[in-house]
Formats: sequence, C-alpha cells, structure tokens
Amino acid sequence: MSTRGHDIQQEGYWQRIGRRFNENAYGRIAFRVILVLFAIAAFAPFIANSHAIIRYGDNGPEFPIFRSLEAIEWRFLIYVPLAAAVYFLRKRQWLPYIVAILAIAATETSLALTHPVNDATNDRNYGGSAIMPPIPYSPNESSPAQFSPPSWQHWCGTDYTGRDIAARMVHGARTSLSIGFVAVSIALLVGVTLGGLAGFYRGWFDIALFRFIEILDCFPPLLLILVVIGVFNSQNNMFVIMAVIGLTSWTGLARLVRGEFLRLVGQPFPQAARALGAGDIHIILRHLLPNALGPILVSATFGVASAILIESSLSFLGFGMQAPTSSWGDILSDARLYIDFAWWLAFFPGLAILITIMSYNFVGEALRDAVDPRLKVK
Amino acid sequence: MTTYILRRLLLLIPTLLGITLLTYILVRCSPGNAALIRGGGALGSHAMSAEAREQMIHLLGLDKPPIEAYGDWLWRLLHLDLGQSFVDHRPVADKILERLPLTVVLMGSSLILSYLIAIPLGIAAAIKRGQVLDRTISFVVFSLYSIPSFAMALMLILLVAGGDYLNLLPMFGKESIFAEDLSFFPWLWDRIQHLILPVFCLTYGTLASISRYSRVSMLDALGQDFIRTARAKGLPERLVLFRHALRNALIPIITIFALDLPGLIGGAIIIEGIFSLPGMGQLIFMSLDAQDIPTIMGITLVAAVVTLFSYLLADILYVVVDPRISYE
Repeated sequence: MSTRGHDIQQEGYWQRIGRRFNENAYGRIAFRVILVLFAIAAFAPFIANSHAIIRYGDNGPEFPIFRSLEAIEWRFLIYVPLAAAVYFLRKRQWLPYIVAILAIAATETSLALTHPVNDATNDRNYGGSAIMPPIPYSPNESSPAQFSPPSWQHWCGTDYTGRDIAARMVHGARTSLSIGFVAVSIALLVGVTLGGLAGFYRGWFDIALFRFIEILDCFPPLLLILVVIGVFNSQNNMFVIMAVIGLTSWTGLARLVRGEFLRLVGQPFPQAARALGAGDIHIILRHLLPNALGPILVSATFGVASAILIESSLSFLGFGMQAPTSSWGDILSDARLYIDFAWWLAFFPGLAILITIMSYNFVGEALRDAVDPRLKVK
Repeated sequence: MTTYILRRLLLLIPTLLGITLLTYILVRCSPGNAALIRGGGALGSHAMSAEAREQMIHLLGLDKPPIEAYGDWLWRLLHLDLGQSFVDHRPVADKILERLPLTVVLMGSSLILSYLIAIPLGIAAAIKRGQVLDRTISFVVFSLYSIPSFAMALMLILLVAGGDYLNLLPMFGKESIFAEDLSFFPWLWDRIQHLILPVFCLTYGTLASISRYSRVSMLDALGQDFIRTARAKGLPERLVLFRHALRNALIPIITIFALDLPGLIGGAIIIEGIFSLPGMGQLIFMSLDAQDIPTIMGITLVAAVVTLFSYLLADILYVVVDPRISYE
C-alpha cells in the first residue's frame, strides 16, 4: 500500500463526515454560531472597550485601544497570524522561521519594555472625532448609571456598580469558551491515553483502570469538583478550574476509547500491520487511533458543552475564577441579589450560556449522525 | 437470582473500599493537612485554631502512619461514626440524617415527575417519527436540556415568585414562618408551594434526557421483528403499540434513573443553594465555607455510596424485568 493511497483513503473518510455533517441544518447553523462566539472571544478588546480605535487629536491620528491591550492579547494578536504565515510559507525553507524568530524577539522585548495603560479614562466624550468599538465600555469600568435597564447606550443593561453587562459578557466569552476547550483537551489526553492502553494491552492494567473508573464514577461530578476546590482551597485561577474539570471528566472518554480499541484490535487490518512488522506504537497511533477518532470527537463535543455548564455553575456558586476575570456564571451570580427587579442581569448571561451549550450539543448530535449513520434516529 | 444479587453485593465491597480510600486520600493530601503533618500551622488563608488542629489530627490520625490511620478511620466508619462537625460539635451522621429527607423528597419527586412526563413525550415522538410533533418535541426537549438550571431558577423567581411580575409562589425556604401553627392540609399545601419551583428546576433537565432516551428505546422496539409479526397477524395498531412495543421499550428506560442520579445530585446542590432549602446541598456549602472537614467527607461518602447503590439497583432491576437476560 503506497503512502498516497493511504492519504486519499483518510481524506475520503473526513470528507464524507464533513458532507454528512453539512446535510444537517441544525448542525451547520450551530457550528457557525460557535465560530462567531469564538471570533467574539478572540477580538473581545476590539468589540468592547472604553478606548477609541482611532481618534484624531492635535498630534494626528492616535490608537488608544492598542495601549490598553494586555501582554497576552498582544501575543495572541501577533502569534496566531504568525503561525498561519509560517504555515503558508513553509515551502520557502528557512525564510519563514527566521522571520518568526525575529518577530517573536521583537514582540517579547517590546512587551517587556512597555506596560499597558490601565487608565480609567474613556474616549466616549472625546472632543475631536473618534471611532469607538461597537460596545464603548470596558468590562470592569464602573459608571454612575447603576442598574440601568437595556437601552441603546447599554445593550444589556448595567449592574450594581454600573458596569456594562454587554461588555462583561463579551469578555466573559473568553473564559467560558477557553475553559470548555482546554478542560476537554485535558480530559482527552488522559482518557484517550489510559483507555487506549487498557483496550490495547488489556490484562492487569485494564482491570485496575476500570476498577478505578468504577470508583470515580460514583462521585457526582459537581460535588467532586466542589470538594476538590473547597478542600484544597487553592487560588482559583483559570488553569486550576480547567485542570480540575478536565481531570474529573475523562472516565467516559476512557470507556469509549477502550471499547473502540477492543473492537478494532479484533479486525484484520491491525493484524495485517502486525504481520508486516509494525510495532505497538505504530499500530496504536497509525491504525487504531485514526479509526476511533470519529466517536472520540463526538464525545469530546458533548464534553465541551458539559464543561462549560460546570464552569458556569462553579462561578455561579462562587467557587470559580477570582474577581477581575469575568465569566457568564459570575454575572449570573451577581444577579442573585437583585433578581427581584433586575431581570437583565440574569437573562442575558443565561441566554449566552444556553446558546453556547445548545450549539455544542447540536454540533455533537450532527457529528454523531455523520460519523455513524447507523445510529441515526430520524 | 439470589446468587446473582449476592455476587453483585460481594463485588460492591472493593468499590466501597475504593470510595472511602479516595475520599480519605483527597482530604489527607490537601495543602492544609500537609502543613499540619509538617508540624507548622495551616496555610495562611484558613489558619486553624489549636482546637481544630487537635480535632483534625484525631479525625485523620495524622500522628500515625498513613495506613494505620486509614484503617482506624475506616473502622470508625464501619460503626457509622463519621466524626464530629468542627462547627457545632454534633455527630456528622446526625447532621446529615436530619437534612437527608428534604433532599430525598426533592430528588425523588423530581425523578417521578420526570418519568411521568418524559415517557409519554418520548413515546409520542417515536410514534409520530419525523412528523411535526416529533420535531417539535425533540427541539423543545433539546432546548430544555441546554438551559442551565440556575439561570432558569433566577428567571422563575423573577417572574412568578415575588419579582416585579407575579407573586404566586414563595421565593425561598422549605416552609412559611407560621407553618408550625397550621393544621395538616394547609401545612402540606404550604410545603408543596415551597417545593414547586425547586422541583421544576430539577425536573426539566432530567425530563429531557429521559424523554430522548425513551424515544430511542421506543424506535428500537418498533423496529423489531415481533412488531412486524404483530401487525402482519392483523392486531389493531393500539395493541401493537401499547402491548407489544411499549412493554419492550420500557425495559431499558426503567434503569436510566441511575445514569441521571449523579447529575441530579449536582443539580440539587445548586437548587438548594438558590432556594435556601435546608437539605444536603446547602449543608455542603456551609461546610465548605467553614472548612468543616468531617462533614464534607461525610456528605461526599454518602453521595458516592447512594450513587453506587443506585447503579446496583438499576442492574438488578434490568435482570428482574427482562427474562431474556440470564443471571450468569
């Protein structure tokens, strides 16, 4: 079998999944919704910011928005396009790498030398002409307009210190989306590795692992996460939450991967590969894993939905991220005290969570039908 | 049959041991304890009083080697001694027992309601497969499934419980202040009114998952050969659906409560918090806030053991209901 023939076959599989996925209207729309949500999260500082994008002062045009960016936002802005550029220029031998190294060096030095201007000023009432972002408020910027209901100034209203809910939600999208993504990546890493090894080698490792999974599955997930966070009493930064959610939600994936591997090992092609002299690692990575990837992807998509739900529950209960980081659950949590009159505090973040979770669930559903049409119930 | 159940009960023992071991390790490895073992005080944010440190050392046997300490703790556990609360020095078992009924009522009524509503919905969707009714039910159920219960709870409080709009139902608590003086039926009505919103918030998610499951199960049953036989021999459609298909479709559905239980426990924690219901969920928050380690451990153990037994119950029910499955 030539490498080329192998490639074409692989491509065909994913193309078929893509085509079947696109036939599902809900899935197609939901996937686009998720892309839009990610775009909002990625460009949050340009969508909701109290600093103008461009303003014309006495000294010519100024770009105050860029002065307010944090180092991590600069890195994101520069490195993502850089990675894309390196990828497209990879045929040019050393050139893209030299450029990349120079760009990284230049970025890091200038980041080390400058500090973001976190002034409380805003350009909303700037005298000259200025172009503002669509939501001209920063997420943590208080204003005298407390509890103002949704209006043209504040699309989703303001909270008890007059912070703009729309701006907080745009920035909170970053937390919620990245937590779902990273937590599931951690769960994938653990679950696929352990489940795969158990399914491939079986024996004592398999037995021990599944005894352990049986025990772990007896603890209700939210309770387990609350107890871990509560007892360890850690400084809850985003990464702790991601790790805890990831490390408590891999059991389903491990079960799935083990089952798939057990099924695949019995089929002729791993045995053929073995007869041709392939080692264990080659068989696992090249033959078994690609064939199990479809169901894994489906399960991971549903996993993202539940990770986002768990994160927002944790933030709602006050066990989530600490103060300056806003997440949708946080805003809802603030809403609890004022719920008898300030409906917008609960409605908009609730809606955002609903739309996100629903989109992931629809994508998961459509993917499942695309990966294995036999399971399709329609 | 009896041997099957006995064997399953014996197999529970290692899992139960695992649950206790995991709980013990979790608490013993926490940073606060690490500091205690090293002999220093606890870490800054939750500095303990000397008394609390004494209790902690006694509870976890920190002055003994780990294995011996775990053995001691397990031995006390076997005598249903979960230790004493750090907060009010009452036995943890008592604290849990007095709060358990409310949580059980909450979760039980929510489960029963979910089943009562979800099965007809799922069956109807399966019978009208692909038609408008099916698509509507599926979409509504799917949306319900994605609404976070706490957001729903807040919106409901706003809309019907004393917010700017309607004031039909009480906002929080398990009973009104004057409930003690009421005679039985008004008292019961008062209780029910306080439970309507929490039960609703817990129910709709479970309902969604059970109805999706029943739809699949019913479709599965409708595709079987004996349904074709039943239709071929001219049975009325009503008999085919309800006597032949439904009975077979119900077999997997009756065991699904076990799969939903861990999620339901999580939901109950949140909902009890929001509606200030004095159940287990509220207790866990109070204990986490106060770093009341014995109570935290007790609740975790109870929740895990209850889940384990519900898995077992589901497995046994499955075998009891379906005569095709052998006990071997």
